[in-house]
Amino acid sequence: MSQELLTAKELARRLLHPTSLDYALTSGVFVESSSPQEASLFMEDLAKDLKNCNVAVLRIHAKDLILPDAQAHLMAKLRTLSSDEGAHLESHSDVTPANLAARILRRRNVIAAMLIDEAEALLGKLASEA
Amino acid sequence: MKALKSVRDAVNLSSAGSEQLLLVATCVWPSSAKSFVFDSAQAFYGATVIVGRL
Repeated sequence: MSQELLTAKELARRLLHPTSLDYALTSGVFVESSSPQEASLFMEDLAKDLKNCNVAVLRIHAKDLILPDAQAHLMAKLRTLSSDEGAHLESHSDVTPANLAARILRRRNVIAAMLIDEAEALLGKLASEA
Repeated sequence: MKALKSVRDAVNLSSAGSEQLLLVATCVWPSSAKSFVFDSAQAFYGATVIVGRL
């Protein structure tokens, strides 16, 4: 199966203005690049294009998601979306990244994008999850 | 990956307004993004793979 070739600008437009053929994009998009430098430039361009459209952008390196404190790192990133709401939720011991993200984005009523660099770092994690 | 999927689903599946969480990841050759999306046992099975162009 061949993959579509898209620029960051084209991807941003299709994420924010999907046609009936683009709804699978909401499940997540994995972008293949030929080098770390090219991948990083693509993400920089995508982040810029999304921010220009008022999307809140979180950029995370996959290596930070395989560390023992990965959940704390993810929570800290999510809290940057709303420091007030994050501080409030911080006092609840049952807060997970999922309900923190849901509460913040529901309250702000915004679109956010989580951009994960070099996801291949998670492939070892995949094997242990399966 | 399951934690990321949970975050995505917690926002997108319960969305009553315009809030939405988009998730985009890069994967550098020779690793393949297909590992994440073509295996039904994986969290992001069915997600989209594209090739990035600068």
